[in-house]
Amino acid sequence: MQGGEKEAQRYVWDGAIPLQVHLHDSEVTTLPPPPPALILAPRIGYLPLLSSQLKPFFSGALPPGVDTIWFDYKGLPLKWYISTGVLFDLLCAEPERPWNLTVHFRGYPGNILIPCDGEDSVKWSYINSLKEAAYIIHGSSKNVMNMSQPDQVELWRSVMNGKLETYNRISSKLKLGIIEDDFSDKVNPSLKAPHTVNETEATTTLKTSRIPVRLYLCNTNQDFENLETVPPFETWDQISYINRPVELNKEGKYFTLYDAIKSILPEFFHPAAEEEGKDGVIKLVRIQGIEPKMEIPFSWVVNNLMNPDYFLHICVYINAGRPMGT
Amino acid sequence: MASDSPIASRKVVVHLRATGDAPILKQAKFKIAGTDRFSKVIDFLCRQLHRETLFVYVNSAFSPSPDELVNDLYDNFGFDGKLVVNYACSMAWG
Amino acid sequence: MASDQATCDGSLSSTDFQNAANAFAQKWNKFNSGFPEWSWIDCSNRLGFATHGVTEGYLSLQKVIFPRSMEEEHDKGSSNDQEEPFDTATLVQSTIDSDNGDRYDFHVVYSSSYRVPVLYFHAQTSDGQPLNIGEIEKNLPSKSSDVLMESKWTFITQQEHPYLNRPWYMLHPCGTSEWMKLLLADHAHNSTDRYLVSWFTVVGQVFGLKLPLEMLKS
Repeated sequence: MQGGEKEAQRYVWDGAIPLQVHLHDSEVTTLPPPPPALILAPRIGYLPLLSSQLKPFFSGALPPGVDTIWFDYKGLPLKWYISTGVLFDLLCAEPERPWNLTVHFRGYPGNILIPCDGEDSVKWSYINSLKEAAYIIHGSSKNVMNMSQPDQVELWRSVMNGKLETYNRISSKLKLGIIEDDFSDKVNPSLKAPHTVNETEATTTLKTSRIPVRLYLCNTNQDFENLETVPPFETWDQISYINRPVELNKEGKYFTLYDAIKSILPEFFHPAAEEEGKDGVIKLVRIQGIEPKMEIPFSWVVNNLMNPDYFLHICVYINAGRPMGT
Repeated sequence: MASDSPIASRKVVVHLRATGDAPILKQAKFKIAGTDRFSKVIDFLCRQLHRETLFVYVNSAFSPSPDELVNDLYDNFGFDGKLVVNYACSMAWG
Repeated sequence: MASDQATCDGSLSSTDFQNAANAFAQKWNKFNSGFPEWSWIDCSNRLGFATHGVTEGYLSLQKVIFPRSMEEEHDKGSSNDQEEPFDTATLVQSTIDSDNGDRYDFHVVYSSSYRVPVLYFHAQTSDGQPLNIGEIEKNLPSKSSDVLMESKWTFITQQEHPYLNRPWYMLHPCGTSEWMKLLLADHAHNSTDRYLVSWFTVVGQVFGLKLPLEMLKS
């Protein structure tokens, strides 16, 4: 429990997914084909940032041409602008370790994925996400837009290299003060976020009423007993994102993760919907690789499990019974 | 004023009104040929205020296309013998 | 949720967005008879079930043709042309010469984060090839290309279309409420009905699209 940071936040930042990366058959020009690359991918990182490690590994086997890196999992092209941890939580109902991904350096599927011009694209995708979060919290993105150039670079590097101390130091200047966490102490003293020495300047406890949340909704279209039986996703149409801030009521009512998800997906908590399935339509809720209890205070979840873009990314598996339209 | 002269040669009085953090001009009213395009008003303002971009709008309601004729804007939105044009410094996309 | 919220901070609630969209589409279709029409695309069933209390859908304007021949004029047109700094020639012809122009589809999608409408667009050649940003730039007025040069990452970039799940170009929305606040300042009433009309006078200029003045009269 070092100054200014929370234990859970440290776990999130240190979290990594072991990858076993295979070069796609069509790009292999050598015999024997290159072995798969084993690599640890930070949860809060983005796949194209692994390029500097993967490219030297596979370059000898590649046909001549221009390299544009992209990945797929069981044929599904991976969206690089979703952090690696969220992709893993989303696409592996039953965590697969190591996670077997296929890397491509040719044939970028520009009709499915936003183009990626290397690190700059990833950085700006992150900054734009941060701006959006700032807007949700403050009603303005100015703090992010007016950041000094050195701060912006340092903040980005801290995310890229997993330097939590630097990140906390720079991001505190944005005054995106995290929500007050009154309830954790009352419910369970061990959950208490360790507010420490520099509480006054670092963690400005602003009372925000809008919380940036991205909810990823996977419709499995079938009842599943075990996570192993969830079939892989064939297209992104089976996954919807809901980008809707959670409005926190200021009346001081005890507000749980359950309440937050209910506020985004009220239709699942409709009496009629809850009757539909034995256990309801929501099969699984996963945040940063864990499946938190629904009674946990939402403020604790936000303060500890949010990504460095200040969004809380929640993966929800549902069985809505019907196929989703587009 | 403007209304007496034949449309082709008439001058329109433009009243420039600063909003927000925009500086106020010493001379806020000036005359412009009705056959000029609105871009002339925008350019004038940018030159006066030494700015690359400004947010210029009419009637506190819309931002006219730069190729709109001053005559047309005056006929539709002129009031009290003048066309009121607001300007503000902030014009960010972000 | 109150309709007069739009007047104070330049934003719009999600339910007001749908009302504003209807008002805008009606006016546009009345005054722009030569153009394609805006229509509301309902997505309330996109999650496989009906959503409650949230507007799911967007406004769509399809097949706006930007003539290809403009490229040459653009190359010739120097930026210090004081008489005509705005390239009037990019005004859109919707029906004429549609075989020989770039086709643009525009979608106006509500952002719950920014609480404002956001313009998404997709551009392709007459034979269906998607345009890249460099080719799109040639269709834009010179002022827009200037902004594009200065702000590569914060003006127009490809983003995932919130309903189509595919990359579309998007005009960045974080400044929108700032200037909308100015355009709504003196109009306490009917601000929802007027919202998208005012909004489009700014956003349309990026493409050299303008609204007929009759449409702007209150």
